[in-house]
Amino acid sequence: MKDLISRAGYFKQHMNSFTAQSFFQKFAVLLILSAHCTFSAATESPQLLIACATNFLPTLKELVAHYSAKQSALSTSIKKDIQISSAASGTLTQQIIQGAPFDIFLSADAALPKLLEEKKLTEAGSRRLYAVGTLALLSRQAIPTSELAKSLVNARLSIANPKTAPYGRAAQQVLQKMGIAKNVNIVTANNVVQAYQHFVTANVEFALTSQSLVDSKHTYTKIPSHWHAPIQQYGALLSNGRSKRQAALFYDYLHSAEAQEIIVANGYEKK
Amino acid sequence: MSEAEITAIILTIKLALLSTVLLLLLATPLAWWLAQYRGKLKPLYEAIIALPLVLPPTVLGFYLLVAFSPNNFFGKIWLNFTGQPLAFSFSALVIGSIIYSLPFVVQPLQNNFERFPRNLIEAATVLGSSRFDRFSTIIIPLSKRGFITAASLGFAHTVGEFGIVLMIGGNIPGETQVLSILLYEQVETLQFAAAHKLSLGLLISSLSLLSLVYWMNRRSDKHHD
Repeated sequence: MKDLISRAGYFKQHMNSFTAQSFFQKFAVLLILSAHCTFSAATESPQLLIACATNFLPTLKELVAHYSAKQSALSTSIKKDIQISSAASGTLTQQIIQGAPFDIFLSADAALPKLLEEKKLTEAGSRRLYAVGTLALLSRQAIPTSELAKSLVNARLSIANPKTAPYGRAAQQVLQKMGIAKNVNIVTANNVVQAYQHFVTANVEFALTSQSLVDSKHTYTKIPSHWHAPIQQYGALLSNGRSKRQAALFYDYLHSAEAQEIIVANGYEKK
Repeated sequence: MSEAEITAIILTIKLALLSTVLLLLLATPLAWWLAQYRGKLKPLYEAIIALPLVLPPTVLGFYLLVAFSPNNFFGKIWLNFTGQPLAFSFSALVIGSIIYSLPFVVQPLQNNFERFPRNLIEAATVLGSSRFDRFSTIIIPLSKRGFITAASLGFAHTVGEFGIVLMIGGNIPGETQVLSILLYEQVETLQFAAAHKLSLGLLISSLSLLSLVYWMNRRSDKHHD
């Protein structure tokens, strides 16, 4: 008890030296600082937010690492805080329509960025192709391309939902092209990553997913790209973004030759 | 209403009804046992049953997906017995729903059984009534309120299931595409008019069901007074 009282006395002493005047001075400084922060958030946020289709996430992470390393090598004043939000392109489009503050949208298709452009939610002229996707068939054993159709008949195959995912649509076209669309037990995953997850947990025998996701420890066959309509992935700068200068810089980098090299190395085709 | 919507509604009702019946069969003895049990481990057992209330559905979905895999014990046994893999089937959803809605059925029953007048059972025992007799002629009729609450909550909660179905269902029309999943797909594909219709329908039917339960509870309260 004594100890507590002496401590309280110590605290009181120090409180006394902290005069009312200095308190208000400090308070005013705080107020100005916070006002400055809020104000600058409205103009240029230090954080760059990228909305990215699930299939592109591993590639984008590699690009961001490369970009950040390059920026610090140049020791420019450019902020390198880049946050990625990944989901199905349809989900992200919806979030953008509802006012999500993303700076860049990297879709898995061409239609959704176009839709956003029509709704005047993109920066004029920024809608561009950034990658062309390829499909891979995951299987337990290696299969030659010529025997793909035969081995898929009556098997359980997981694909992304053709209604929401461009890779799911392409997967459906591949099955139609092989003439086996009706002879396969299709499990519809929410997106390409879930289709992959169905395969990894052994709940399906095969999965058609984007090649960019495939881990080298799994067996897969590349699907010839003329078996489906090209998976053209478009991106755009968004007018709701809060970090427009940073966004434009990163967007330029994304279309540069060195970034495109990384994209192709990750399982995409040359544009 | 589109064909997909009708299929989904029928499937959802089928899933909820079947799950509720199985849950009542499973939860009644469990709740009775818990109500009588006085051991040290009671809080632990109660906590295990309450887990689905607090766990994210993703945890259950993940464990179920792994358990259903033919590479693992449970999935393998199922495949051997039925010849069909378990994941992405209607049976998978029934198993998921039973786990997910278990506390909603066990807890109201247990509450009811704990307040049960013991002297009635003792009197019946003395008069020579059998265990089954006591259960069917005394306990069940006098626990009507508990059973109605348990069944309605189990049913409503199964209709409202989403996260687990998204993970173990595989979105197959007529098999695993329940209302909540179809609604999610409509929202994802920006079909807001259709989504509004389904959402409103679910909102009204859930509200009606719950109101009915509370109304019946109130009535039986008055009855007891």
